[in-house]
Order: sequence, then structure tokens, then C-alpha cells
Amino acid sequence: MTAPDRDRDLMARAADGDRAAFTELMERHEDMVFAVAMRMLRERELAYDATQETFLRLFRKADRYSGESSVSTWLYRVATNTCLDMLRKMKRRRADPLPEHHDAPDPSAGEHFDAVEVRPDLQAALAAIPNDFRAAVVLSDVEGLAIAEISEILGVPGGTVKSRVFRGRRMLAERLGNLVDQPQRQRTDDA
Amino acid sequence: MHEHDLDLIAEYASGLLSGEHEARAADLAARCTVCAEEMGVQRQVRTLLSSSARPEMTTFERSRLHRIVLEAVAPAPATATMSRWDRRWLSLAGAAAALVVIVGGAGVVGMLGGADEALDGSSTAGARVAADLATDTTTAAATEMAPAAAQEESAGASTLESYGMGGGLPWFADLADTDRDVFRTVVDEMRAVAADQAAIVTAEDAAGFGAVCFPVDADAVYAVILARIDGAAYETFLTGDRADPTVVTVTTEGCRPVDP
Repeated sequence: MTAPDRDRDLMARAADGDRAAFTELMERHEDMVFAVAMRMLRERELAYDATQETFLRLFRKADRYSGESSVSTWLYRVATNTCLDMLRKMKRRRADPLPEHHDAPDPSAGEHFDAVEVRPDLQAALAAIPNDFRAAVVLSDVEGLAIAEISEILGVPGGTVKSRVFRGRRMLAERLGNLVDQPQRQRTDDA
Repeated sequence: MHEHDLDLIAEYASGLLSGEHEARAADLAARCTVCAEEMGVQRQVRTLLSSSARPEMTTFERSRLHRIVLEAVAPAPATATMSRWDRRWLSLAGAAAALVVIVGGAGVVGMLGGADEALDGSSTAGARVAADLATDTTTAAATEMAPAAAQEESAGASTLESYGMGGGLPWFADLADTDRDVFRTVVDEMRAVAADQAAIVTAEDAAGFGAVCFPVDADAVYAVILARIDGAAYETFLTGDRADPTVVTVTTEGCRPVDP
């Protein structure tokens, strides 16, 4: 059984309330979801919250999964939309404090952050570009997804995806400064 | 001087072109510095992003995620209805409910279709009847009435009918108005949780015993048993198997006094 077929099988069983299947599905994709959330939200606690919310939404909506797209594509969509929703809410409530967590602190969190965290300058540059462009660039260049799949995830035409990816890269280049050659060019309009 | 088609260059840098489009873009990048710079920007940013370390959860975060998510999606307990009733029962008992309890189960016998006994409410008679109760297996018992009790019509009958329950059945009316109000609250609670509203049955007899019985699910019958014993109010809560609605012996020892 291929990985996508295995995912579909687990999804069908999760939709029937099979918690073991749902757990396996979560274990297979939690790293991906967290990575996308970190790129989109930049802050670890927010990314963690988004990951948690993504899987809760997955479970609640499992019966609506039609099987037309792969489970991973569906998950990318849920994760991306969850992050975009959080970003919109943050924008409206910029003064509100971050949500509190009452679990015991993770003693190794700081070390792990230094070891595997995204380069701060790159993460800062990502955070500085508009959310929709960030989503397209993350899915394309970080996650390595094809334009057609990103189009399905974001619910926009392929031409729009390409435009956001290309413009997103240009914005990142400007913010990264001397790490990337500054373009001296005439810009074309978006499609 | 050509028009710089930077999106075409970007597509070329992204490996999205083929055929003549790819050839044209390659040619532009080779001959035009602006196009070449665009290609460089697109490729460098793409490489930077694709080669960046992937954030990972710690073991602690991962286990916390599983715990929180799996707890959130856990199914609700099958006995949620009963649990809610249990909690209300306890709160009513503690809130000056004037619920009284049948002693010896004489009234229960009448309701559950047991012996056709004259009901006198005495504990002695109740103890004797209680022994009979232990062997009572009448399946329709929950809806039957002792003849003496069945003939009783009380001021509470209208109250019973207002609940849409078993018109004509005697109502447990030998209580003060306060008690009746509390009893009505208990009935309301049971209506809220009972699976089969039509099967709620109330009954009382001349001595002041009373009960409200209702099926909560396909398997069980529950009853609030109320009685006044030597001027004091007692309550108890019984369960019975639908298929075998034998009520376990009810005595004052199994009841708890209720503050008026």
C-alpha cells in the first residue's frame, strides 16, 4: 500500500471514529503541519496552537473528506487556513497577550530551538511579507509542492499561485538585503 | 531593448518551462542583465528556503499534542444522561427537597404490579412486601397501579395531566405545597433526561407514599421513591432492569432523610 493509500484508509477509519487510525494519521503528518505553522506564524507557541487546532479540525471534518485530493493536500489546506485565520485574528487583536499554557514547561525547548530553528533573518523576512504571499512561498519552496497542488490548497488559480510565489521571493530578496543580489529590474504586473 | 518578461524568467528559474518557452527564457537570461538578475534572485531565494532546517517539535511537545488532541476528540460517556440526573438528584436532595420515600416498598408494589395489598404505610407491612418485591418479575410492572392507589384522585391529578403523563393516575398529593413544588421540579428534571417521556409514571397511595418511575434507556428503569415516615421525609433512588423490573428491598435504612 502506498503512503497516500495508507492515508486514505486511515482517514476513512478516523471518520468512523477510529481513534487509533486518527492517532496514526496525526503521527504521520504532525511534523509537516508544525513546520508549515512555524514558517507561517514564526512564534513557537502559536505554531504549536495551530498544529493542535489543525488536527482537531481534521478529526471534526474527517467525514467531509471526499478523497478527491490526497490526505496530505487536504491537511496542508487545513493547516494553512488555520494559520491564516490565526494571523487575521492577531492582526485584529494585536494588543492581546499570547494564550497561556498551563502545562509544565518543556525543559529542552530552548536547546531544541537553537539547534533546529529556521535562520532568524530568513524567518523575520518571511514574517514581513503579506500572509498570502508567505503561504504560497512556504508551500512552494519550503514544502516543495507543485503549483497545481498549491492551487488546490489555497483555492486560487495556478496563475495566481505563481504570481504570489514569484513576487514573494522578490519581497524576501529585498528584505534579506546583501544575502541575495538586489534586483534592478522593471516589474511586470500580476496576471 | 526587449520587454523584460520577469515572470517568464521566474518560471524558468523554477523549472516550470519546457520546449520553446524554456529556450526563449534561457536565451533572455543569457543576453540580458536584468533578466539574469531576476533569475538569480528567484533561484537564490528558492534555494535558501528549501535548504533551511525544518522546525521540529520536541518530544515533550509531541506527547502534549497527542494528549490534548486525543482528550479533545474522546467520545462522550455513554451514560451521560444518567450522570446528569445523578448530579441533579444530589443537588435537589441537598436543597431542602421535601422528597419522601416509600418505606418497605408498599407503594412500589402497587406501581410495579405486585401483590394487591392494602397499603397502610407501616414499616412492618413494608418489610413483608419488600420480600415479595424481590421476586416480582412482572415486565409491565412499571405501568401498573395497586387498586387502592389507582382509585385515588387528588388535587394533584390536574398537575399530573398538565405534564401530559398518564391521565387519571393518582398524584402524590399528600404533601405541603412546598413539597409539591419540589416534586414538580424533580419531575421536570426527569422529563429532561428520560429517554421515553411517555413512559413516565407517577403514583401515590392514601398513606402518602409516592414515586415517579421512568425509563432512561433501553435497559433500565429508574425511580424516585418518596415517602413520609413518622412525620419525616425520606428519599431514595432505585434502578431496575426493564426486562426484570424487580426492585430491591426498600427500607428506611436504604433511604436518606430530607430536610423539609
